[in-house]
Amino acid sequence: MKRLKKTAPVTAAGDKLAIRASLAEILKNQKGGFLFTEKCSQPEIFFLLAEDIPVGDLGILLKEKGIKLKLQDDLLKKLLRLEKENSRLKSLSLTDGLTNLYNRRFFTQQLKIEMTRTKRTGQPFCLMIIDLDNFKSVNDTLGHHKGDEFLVNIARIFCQKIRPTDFACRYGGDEFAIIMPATSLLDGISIAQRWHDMIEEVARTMKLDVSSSIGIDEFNTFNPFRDDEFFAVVDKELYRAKKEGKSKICYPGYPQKEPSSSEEVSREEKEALFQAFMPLTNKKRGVN
Amino acid sequence: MKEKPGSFIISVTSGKGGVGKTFITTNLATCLAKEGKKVLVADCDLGLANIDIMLGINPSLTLKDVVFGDKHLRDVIIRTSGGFDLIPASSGIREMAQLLFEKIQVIKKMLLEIDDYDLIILDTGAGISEVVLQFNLIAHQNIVVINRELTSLTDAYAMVKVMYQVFSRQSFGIIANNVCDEKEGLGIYKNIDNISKRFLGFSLDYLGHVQQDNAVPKSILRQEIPFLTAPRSRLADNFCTIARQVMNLPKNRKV
Ligand SMILES: Nc1ncnc2c1ncn2[C@@H]1O[C@H](COP(=O)(O)OP(=O)(O)O)[C@@H](O)[C@H]1O
Ligand SMILES: [Mg+2]
Repeated sequence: MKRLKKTAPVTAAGDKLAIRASLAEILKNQKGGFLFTEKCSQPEIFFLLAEDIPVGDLGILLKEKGIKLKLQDDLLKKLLRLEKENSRLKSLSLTDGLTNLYNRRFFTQQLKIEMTRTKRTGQPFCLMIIDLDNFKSVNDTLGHHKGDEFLVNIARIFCQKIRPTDFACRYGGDEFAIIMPATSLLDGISIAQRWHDMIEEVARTMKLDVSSSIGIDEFNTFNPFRDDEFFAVVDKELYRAKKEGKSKICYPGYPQKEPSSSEEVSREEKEALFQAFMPLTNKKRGVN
Repeated sequence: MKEKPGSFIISVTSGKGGVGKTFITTNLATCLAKEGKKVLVADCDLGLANIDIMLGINPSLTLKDVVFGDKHLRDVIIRTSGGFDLIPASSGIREMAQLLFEKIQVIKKMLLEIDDYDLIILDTGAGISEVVLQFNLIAHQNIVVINRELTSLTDAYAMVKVMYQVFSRQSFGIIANNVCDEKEGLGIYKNIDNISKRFLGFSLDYLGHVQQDNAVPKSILRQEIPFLTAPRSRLADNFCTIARQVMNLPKNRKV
């Protein structure tokens, strides 16, 4: 019953063919399909399923099951359609309610578009991800409204100062993703610095102890990454900025704190290399 | 309208010194030039640059004039006897060996502006210093030179590992240098490839081998390019094979 209620609208909103198939199945099978074997008394569930079926067929079907289709039940159908339209519009909306910046859905789409554009035009673009430092403690100590106010304020500054060709998106709670078309890494970094300072300025005027960590990288024609992979690279830089003390900007190639942050070649690896090497020398001896 | 996507940039690197990076760079560039490609070589072994010496030229302007002067990379490019163009560097200047990150970004930006070459080859220095890693990062594809010595294998592996862990690189070309024959080259490659697959989780691309040629030291003494002096040798043949693989690199990319 519960499962039915949950899955039925999804089917109805989605695959019409599937609905037809399941109804054909139901119609063929005198005992009724599984949807009917569940003792289901809510007519709207039938309507969900039957939305795509001519009223005539529906009448026959329901009659077989001992349910009479009354004309005014069609109202339910209309309501349902309205509800569906509503959620469709909601899914089409591309901005974030609180900040009015683009939302994550828009971002995901735009990232793909920019990657395609770069591959076509050859011009690189930059992606930066900004994550606020200490933002959680603002929410925790001063309340969510203070946190929201801060987000709204920086979003306003973003909108004022952003280059008209760039896209600022609210990616998550206190995470922003900025797409900068036709921008090389060097320019991107100086823009990132500006954004970092803007956030600092807003925090100062609001007397909050919030800063920002930023990860940034350039996507160019020779970049082998898919969109999610490229995002992961930038995200990794953001993570590094956080790890290396926050309030900083990191990008692939940013000087490492230590000579290199990679692990050294382990003993195990060295042994494997050595073993790989041994047969080679033996072979050589064999030749000589 | 379609814009030029910039030149394809590769770096020749190794970790260990003396495995033949510069030797391979100059001969590969000569081979590609001979096949009609427009090739630019940048001597990125900033501390101990030696391509100019290998070719017997004495450039008046070098990378130093770009980094510390007001010259653009374009201004220091010279034509070589190998048919390719060269950005020479200067040897023995300490500040050059430890270039600031910002300076390297400037070089990178200029390199990307040079878009009228089919290929740009960066000949890096030894070691895994920041400067070497940076040049590898500028390149779209890294070519790692190895030979049959254990230390070359371990250093090459260390280079691959660092580039992977620090910069998420997962695609490297391998050239086996100084080997007796094709079989030995392939054997050396397979070893490092297996270890990469096992510990790092990705495979390396084999570009080919360069056999040991006893005529090389002599021609280097005469400041000649072996590929030019003996275009019909097995050595030259090796480079032709590698050249084909290298020109295929951009097409093989996942993009
Ligand atoms: N295939 C080869 N056959 C013979 N000698 C070689 C070969 N490759 C390299 N060499 C020798 O090794 C020396 C070092 O090579 P070089 O290119 O300067 O190394 P790197 O640039 O890696 O430090 C060269 O002077 C050359 O004499
Ligand atoms: Mg060298």
